[in-house]
Amino acid sequence: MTSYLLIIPGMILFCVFYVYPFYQSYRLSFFKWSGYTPMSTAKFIGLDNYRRAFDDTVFWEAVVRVFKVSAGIIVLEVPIALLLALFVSRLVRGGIYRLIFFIPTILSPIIVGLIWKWMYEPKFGIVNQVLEAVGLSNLKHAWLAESGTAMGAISVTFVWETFGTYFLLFLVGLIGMDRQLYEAASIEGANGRQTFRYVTLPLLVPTIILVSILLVLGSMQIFGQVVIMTNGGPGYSTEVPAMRILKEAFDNVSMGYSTTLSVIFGFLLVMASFAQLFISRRYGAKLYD
Amino acid sequence: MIDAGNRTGKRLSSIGIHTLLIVVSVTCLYPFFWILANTFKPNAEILRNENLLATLIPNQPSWANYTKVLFQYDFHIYVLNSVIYTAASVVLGITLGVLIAYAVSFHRFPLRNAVYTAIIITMMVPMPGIFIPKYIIISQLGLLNSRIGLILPYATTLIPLTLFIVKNFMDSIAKEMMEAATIDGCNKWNKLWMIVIPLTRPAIATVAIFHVRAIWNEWLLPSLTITNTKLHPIQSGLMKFQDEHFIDYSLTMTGLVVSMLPLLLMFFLLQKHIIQGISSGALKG
Repeated sequence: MTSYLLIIPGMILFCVFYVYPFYQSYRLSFFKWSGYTPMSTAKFIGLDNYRRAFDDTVFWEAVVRVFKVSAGIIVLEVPIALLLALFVSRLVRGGIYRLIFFIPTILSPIIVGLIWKWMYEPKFGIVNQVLEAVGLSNLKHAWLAESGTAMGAISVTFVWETFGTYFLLFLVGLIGMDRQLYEAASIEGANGRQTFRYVTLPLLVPTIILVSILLVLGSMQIFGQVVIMTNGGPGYSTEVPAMRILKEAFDNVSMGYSTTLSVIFGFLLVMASFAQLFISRRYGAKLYD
Repeated sequence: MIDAGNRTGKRLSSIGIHTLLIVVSVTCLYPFFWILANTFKPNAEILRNENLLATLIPNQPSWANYTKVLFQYDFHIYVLNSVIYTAASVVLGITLGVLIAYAVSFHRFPLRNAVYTAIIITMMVPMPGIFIPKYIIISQLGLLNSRIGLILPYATTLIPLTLFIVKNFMDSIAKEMMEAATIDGCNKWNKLWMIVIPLTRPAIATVAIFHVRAIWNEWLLPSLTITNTKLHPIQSGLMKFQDEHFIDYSLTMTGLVVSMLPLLLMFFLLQKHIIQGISSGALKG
């Protein structure tokens, strides 16, 4: 009996704020409902919302956009985090870097978004000033106001905010490695590059897989920075799926349709992480078996 | 000779490594100092656009922005609200999570594994899939614009991670110790209080730090459910403030510093725990 007393309070909250909303979002995805009338007025419309969603070019462009952004972020951030970890792991006193690199990661997306919004500011922002200082003033942009640069600028912000965590995960992986393997490699006459290719990298594969999955899931849900920095603009050039879901629910007052988009995008996210797990396991195994 | 050349090469590459690391460090830190310096300037001075170093030193530093933001605008209320939301939901979430972890780790009952698995799986539910339905249930319960309407859902989101970490920790407690306690006449509650919680304290502390960061930084739910200014936590308060004062850079930057200062303070005081928590691999950022 006591066992049930222990779990019941938590389970009640869990059912109210996880299970029921989850069920509700699937149910409502088949209904037409503004969200401003009682839920009993919601009208069952079968698959209409899903048909509409599949023709919703703005939504699908946003989905494709976060897939691209996510790929870009991985290509940029995994090597940065890994390289920095490799360097710091060789230092006797690397603690200070560990501390500094971690600071951006404790801030909220709202704060990071605001900081970078000001850094990109064309009038007094630092980014343009740095470009001018190093003689690249022809690269100056109104970063967040031009549709060509806005999404890239936001992605850089995301990398700045999150690389510290992944740097730390790599660092832990590197420090935990068996020193004897390196001694053996150097006795066998392996140079630095060979040691990295045949000793370090294979041992890091599990960490690389973990980091990539966390990054894919994190970067595809990028949202707070976008809300603060561009709110989807200019035009639709920085719209992300989470923002479509929010805008359909509140700006376009179609709560039902918004839950349909939630279901679709939630499904895509789960699929993406499974696909990645599968691919990286296979690829990792083939490369280093 | 060869050895000396090798050493020079090593020193060069070490200088290169340090240069790179310092450049990255400056990239991490410069924005903070820039914003901090700007909070001591009037707006006009920010817009004057000095060079990268001069801009770090305010001409006539003053606390005016801070007194304005904190007392003329509502930031002291936002900070207080965030403290309330964070403290209440972290205490509640951890209590409930620890109770479930204790039941699942030490007791045998039907559905034991089902309960554990169900809760852990929800850690994988992506935020964009759930925030609209969460808003709907909060509004159906009549909890829009109320403190409890934030604290309860927040506490719930903390249960899975608490359960996951604390249960693993509890599993490593020797069963003999529990049996000895039973023989000594401890009931289940006594064992929880006198043995299990003291032994799991390190895990609970680590989890708590991460929860504080998560709740302090959360912005989405209150920006949907709270319209009453007096109830905003700091993140949505800051969002609202910057919507209204987006050209007044010195004030919004001051608001930003106020909202990140408590967390930065916590980070510097508890950095060992935080970095160990991430390093143990159990907690992701």
